Amino acid sequence: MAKKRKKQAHRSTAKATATQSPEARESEALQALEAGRYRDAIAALKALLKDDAASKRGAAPRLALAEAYAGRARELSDKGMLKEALVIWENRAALGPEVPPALEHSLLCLRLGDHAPALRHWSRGEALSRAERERIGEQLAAAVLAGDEPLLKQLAADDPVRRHAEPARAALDAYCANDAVALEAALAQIPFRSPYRTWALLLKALARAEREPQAAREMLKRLDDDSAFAPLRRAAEMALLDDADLIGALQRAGPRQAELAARLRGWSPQQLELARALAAIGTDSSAAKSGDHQALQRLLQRHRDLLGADWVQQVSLRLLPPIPEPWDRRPKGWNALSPQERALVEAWNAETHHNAYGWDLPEAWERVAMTLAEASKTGVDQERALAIALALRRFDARFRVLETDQPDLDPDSPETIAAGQLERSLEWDPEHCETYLRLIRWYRGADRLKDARRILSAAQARWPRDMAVLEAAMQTALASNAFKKAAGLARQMLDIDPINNSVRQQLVKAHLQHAAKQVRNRRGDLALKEIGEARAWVGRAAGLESLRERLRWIDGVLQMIYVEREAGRARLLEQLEQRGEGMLGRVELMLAIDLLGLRQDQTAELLGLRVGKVRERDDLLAIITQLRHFLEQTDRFTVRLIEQLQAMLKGAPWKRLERPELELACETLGRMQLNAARQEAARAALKRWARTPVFEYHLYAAKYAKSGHPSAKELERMQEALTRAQEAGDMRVANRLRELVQEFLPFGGLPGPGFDPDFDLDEEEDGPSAEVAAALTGAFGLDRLLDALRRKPLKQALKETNMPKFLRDDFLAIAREEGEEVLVALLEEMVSGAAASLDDAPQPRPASGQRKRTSKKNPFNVDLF
Amino acid sequence: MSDPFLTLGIDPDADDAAVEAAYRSAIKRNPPDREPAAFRAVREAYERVRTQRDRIAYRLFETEPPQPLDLLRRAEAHGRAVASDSEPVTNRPEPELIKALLRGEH
Repeated sequence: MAKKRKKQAHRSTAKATATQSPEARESEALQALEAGRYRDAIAALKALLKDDAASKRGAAPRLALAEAYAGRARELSDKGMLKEALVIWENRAALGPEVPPALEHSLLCLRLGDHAPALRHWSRGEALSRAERERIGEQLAAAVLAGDEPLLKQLAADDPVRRHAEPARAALDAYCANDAVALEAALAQIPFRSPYRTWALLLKALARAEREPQAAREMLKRLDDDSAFAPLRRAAEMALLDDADLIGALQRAGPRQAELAARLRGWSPQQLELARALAAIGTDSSAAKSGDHQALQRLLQRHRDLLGADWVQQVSLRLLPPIPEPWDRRPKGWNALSPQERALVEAWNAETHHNAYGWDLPEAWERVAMTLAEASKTGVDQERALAIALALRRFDARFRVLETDQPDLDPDSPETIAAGQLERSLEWDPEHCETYLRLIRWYRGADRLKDARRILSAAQARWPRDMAVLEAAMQTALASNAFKKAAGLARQMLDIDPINNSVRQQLVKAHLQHAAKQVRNRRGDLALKEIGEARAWVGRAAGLESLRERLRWIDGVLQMIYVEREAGRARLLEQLEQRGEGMLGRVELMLAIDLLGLRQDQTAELLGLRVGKVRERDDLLAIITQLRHFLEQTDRFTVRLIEQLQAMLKGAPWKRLERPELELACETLGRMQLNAARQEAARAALKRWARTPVFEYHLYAAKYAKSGHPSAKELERMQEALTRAQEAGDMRVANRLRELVQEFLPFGGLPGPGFDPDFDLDEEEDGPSAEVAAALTGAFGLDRLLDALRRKPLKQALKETNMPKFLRDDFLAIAREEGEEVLVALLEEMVSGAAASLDDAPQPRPASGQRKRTSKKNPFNVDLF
Repeated sequence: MSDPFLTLGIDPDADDAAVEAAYRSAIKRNPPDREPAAFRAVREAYERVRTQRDRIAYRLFETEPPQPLDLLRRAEAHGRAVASDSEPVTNRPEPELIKALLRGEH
């Protein structure tokens, strides 16, 4: 039926064209030829030659038809339709003697086993161009190599194709047999001008590909696309591709080419089959992630022998579908897994989907350890023991459970569970030093010094001279106030590493803490003894000058207070005098006094000192340096010290400092909580280097460090500074500014008042937080805000919250535009949402007033019981 | 990330010495100045399976599904391991395959 319709359509087209003039028809046919539409061109030209006698006499349409035939034949050859192409070439040859014989026709005949046309061409010898001669020679050579014996017999004895056939074939055999010597010998017999020249080049490239792939690629590029050896070249090039490209290329290659590429790659037929299957499912990682795990799973099982059963089993577990909750249905084939595989998969799911009510992560890994221990009835080998230990350590290793500043000693706390698992892991793998150290650190932090010492002694027995273990031992001894023991350990450490200043510093710090404790107990004699020991540790060690100097000050103060007032006083005054006229000596003295926990004013009175001011640049710089050193030794200081330093630094010559000096000063002052001085320094810097983001940050961070809220203008300045920092690529300052801005923006940086009132907070993943609650209520309390909103006029209720003025103004603007009811409803929703996110926040009581409004989405309205 | 054992071309039960040898040979083939990406991959793979503890941890804790190409690499690695026990692997084709291609069989 379809054929009939096609015929009818063709007849109607032919009818239409027949009505055209012959010139127009010829022009259309030539256009089709030029455009590469050979089938159309052939049909049109054939019809023209048949219908128009005048054209028949002209040679031009006939030659055009010959060209169209040639084009079509080449198309078919490229598609591998060789026999069909041959028919077209024969049609072309039948056009008459004025159409010259085509070399490609002869070559195609040769490929299809008909030698005569090619041999006719070959016999024309000198009449052929060099390129033509080379091309025919190469084709004949390829045919001979392919095993065409009759062709070989038809060639003259002195024909180069026949003469060099033997070494060429020997070279093929030698290459396939991996006989390098024979291959070289055979190739040496093929001269440069031989028709087998390309063959020799190809074999050399193939032989080289195994060791020098790049060189082989370069050699293969020298083979033309229309060479008789091009199919071999393409297969060789394919074999040199990387895995991902090779798989793609295999999809497009013919079976023989793919087979050769796979063979050159050293693949078995099964590997080739696997590669083709992989190509079908896609090799990019996105395909693997997009859920086509089942296809991979099937492939794994189908090629189990090829891939190794153990490996297949192991990776198959990773392809199992997720089990989000412990009570969820297990995937198909679950019962075929061994108990330890099931436990492992459950532990993986527990890690991925753990939450407060679902999987119990430590228990999941505990079960893995248990099944591993149970699986081996004959005893546990070293590898299995390590696996058990690693499973027991996984919970802590994954979540760093024991790295906490405030250890939780509850027996059910994650930390205690993790510590128990680590302890048990040491029974299976006692050679893991890091586990001992983690446990010692945690027990020490949790004040379980007995446990810390127990673990420590086990570690010391194994690694008596390990620096990390010795340091842990020293710290544990210091935590137990066992100074003698700590000193002995420190000596051991210094024997191993004599320039370890950290050891000395830790000991000095401990002695200083102890001295302060003795001062509090009014035991000046013992405090002096501690300081004496601390000085002995500092000794003359390089790099500890600042510490040495501080100990001198402390010693002087203690002498003045506890030993001999006048002598001590004289010594301190002398020390102060040595420091010059500036305030540096005073600051050093103040820091020393603070370390001992003594009263600043009392000591100043004893010494007859009055509060002074920093006036000189060098003095100011030296004081900043001194404060930095102080912060390296301690992070504890008294409010009194801050007050005195604040008074001393008021009006300091900040404007005389250079930019890096000011940056450093602001940082140090920030850490010392000297916010007024930090503000002064930042202002001085901004006068000279206006709008510099880092100083903008210090200015506002200091200004609002403790209380208050920036104005809208100041917030705008902060945001501008943030943008400038981002543009300058200063990400550290940009991040600090971002955090600062977020701290002051309502809703932690969420869109502020004036945003779409239909915005549904419940749809947001991160609901309003403590910051929202704080911004909305100030110190007012969530429930009281709700009460106030319900009972009092809106303006008064908002005013009583202490929320920032600009925020209040914005809310009032919304109330004017949208009505008070809308705003109150909005605020209630925000406050309820904020309360929901605060575990510890007082929860709003259900409203009882006139404006009572129950949100369906309010989590507090849900009756769980 | 690819399977580190396959990146280094070693068997999952390789010992420390085999891992070390494979790493050294891989970085020789992929020096950082000429093949920086490959060098990084080799380095990362080595870090993941350097010690026996690392290798056991990989088996216990790695949950990433295999990349499709891992299957191919694994087949190559496993093929090599199996062949070394029986007969040496050759990547030379049979002459008949080359002759077929020369005859025009694609």
